[in-house]
Amino acid sequence: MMSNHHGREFLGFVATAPPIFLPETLWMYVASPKVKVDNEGRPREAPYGMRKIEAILNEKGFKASIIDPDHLQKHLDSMKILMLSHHDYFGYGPPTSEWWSLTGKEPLNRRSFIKLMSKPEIRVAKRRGVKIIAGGPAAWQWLYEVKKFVEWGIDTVVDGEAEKIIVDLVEKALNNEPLPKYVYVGVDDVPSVDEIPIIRGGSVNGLVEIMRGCPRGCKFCSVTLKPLRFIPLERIVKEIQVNLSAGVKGTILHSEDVLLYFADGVRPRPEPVVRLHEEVLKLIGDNGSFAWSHVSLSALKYAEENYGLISKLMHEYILTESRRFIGVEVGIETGSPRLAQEIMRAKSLPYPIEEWPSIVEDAFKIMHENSIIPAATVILGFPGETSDDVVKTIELVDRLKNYRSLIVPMFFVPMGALKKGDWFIREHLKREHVEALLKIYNHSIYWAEDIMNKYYLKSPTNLPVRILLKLFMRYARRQISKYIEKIEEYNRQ
Amino acid sequence: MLDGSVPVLLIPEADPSRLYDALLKISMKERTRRLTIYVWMAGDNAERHVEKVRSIISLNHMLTLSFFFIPSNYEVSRKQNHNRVYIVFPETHKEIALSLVNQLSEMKIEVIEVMIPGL
Repeated sequence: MMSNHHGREFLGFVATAPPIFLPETLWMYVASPKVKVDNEGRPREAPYGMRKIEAILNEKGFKASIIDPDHLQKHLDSMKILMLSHHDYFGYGPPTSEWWSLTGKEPLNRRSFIKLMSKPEIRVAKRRGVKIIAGGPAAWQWLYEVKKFVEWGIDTVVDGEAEKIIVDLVEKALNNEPLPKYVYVGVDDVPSVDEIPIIRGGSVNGLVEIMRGCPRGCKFCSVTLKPLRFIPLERIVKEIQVNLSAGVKGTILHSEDVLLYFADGVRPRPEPVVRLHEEVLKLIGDNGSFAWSHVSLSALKYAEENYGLISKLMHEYILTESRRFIGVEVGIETGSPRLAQEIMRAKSLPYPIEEWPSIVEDAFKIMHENSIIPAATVILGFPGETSDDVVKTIELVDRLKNYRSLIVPMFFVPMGALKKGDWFIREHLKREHVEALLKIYNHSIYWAEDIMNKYYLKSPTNLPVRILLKLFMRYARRQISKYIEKIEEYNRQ
Repeated sequence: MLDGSVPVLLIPEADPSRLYDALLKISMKERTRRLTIYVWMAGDNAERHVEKVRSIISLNHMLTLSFFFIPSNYEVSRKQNHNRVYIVFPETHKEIALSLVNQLSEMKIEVIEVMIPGL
């Protein structure tokens, strides 16, 4: 399932759902079209994390290449180790687990991974003694799929940043030494900035990281367990040059909070952020695509209110004739200051957490006025969440109705400091959750149609995808209307 | 597994938080944050033990933990040439622990016993 999602990262969210309304092949065409590959099956764009592992292995003299899963057969005779990475191997990550729970249909990413692992070429490779090492952001899911772990002959799973340990593992695998079944990488073994290699091939949609880790310490997030590191500008520039040479005409700056690049704690500093944008946008030019992966709403508000930084970045550097908006993922998570205090006390800093709903609204207003379209997450089912907390989330979503944005509801998945918590599943849904889901879906469908009409996938080559997405949205709107009627009828009884 | 990693033979029949506490203490004593853990399975079904591993990991982000699963002896360590091993076991499994200690001693491996009272 290697894809650049038509150059639109947000379409990747669609790939997390099972095919609804459209047949699976069309769904895949919309959400996860195949990437371009060379004769050997090496993709032009590959997931960034895999590029890092490829780079470190190449640096240490190993012959390692990323191969599109459809082309594995070409390498059966030479392959010694098969390394896997996946954003969501078994569909347990958010929001896949939510769609699975709501629709009862097995998610596409899970099915396609199972299909891949059952392919004859992988079985043949295993019989020939090829070692299989799995990693990536969804590595933790293997501990929930022991039967498949054993059935497919997975030798090792690496959970965490692997740059410092992967060479050791690969050497052991090549020397037929015993391999641990599972490696959890602790804080001392995450690489320092100098130990993180520069990628050697194109990354999906030109994504390059500018930071690792996050200082906010939200309890539901695993990133925050890692130390904060800033990637120097010259390394970022080199990676963008690698992407441009690979034919990837644009970039996504990746960080948990782009505005905190070389920040003073949680207070953005204009100078490094402006310099970053100046250099990056000089490289990709007026026509290259550009996005931020994530920003925090509090940093965005602070940056604009104190330095006019958002409007400066957007109007002096980012927006052009061909780049009329940028997308970014942001986290609302809850509209309840009480719950926010419990689970993400530092998310609002430098503002007090009691003001969280107003911070969210102010930030949405700033983004709306500056052509930034956020894809925002809301998490339902946190441990300790009350009905009143959900009502507060509904009220906040209502306050956001005038701001162009997509909101994605997610069911709580135990991760980060809350990884001991219980999964939130369909059976745990209360009436308030249903109301919240409907409110959010209505908001997102309204604005998705607006975005499609004004901004998204406007080039003629994207016309079929546009048509299919519009059909899908019309279908989704009809389905939601039906549910609302049912709920209203139930309320009247 | 990694340089400076301390080997621990773990009989996982105890509360995960107590097992994790024992692992933390070993890491502090050895001044290392890398432990190689040999989970003793005694032929039982793997899922139960993996669940325990999952629980231990859910309590941890400090240590680098490499897990091996071993059936009923310490054969796997032969290739790794350890000369000193910790064995962590609940009081209720003392007999099993002792038999493993004997095996290890025969292999000329120094054993440090860490008993967890009760379960």
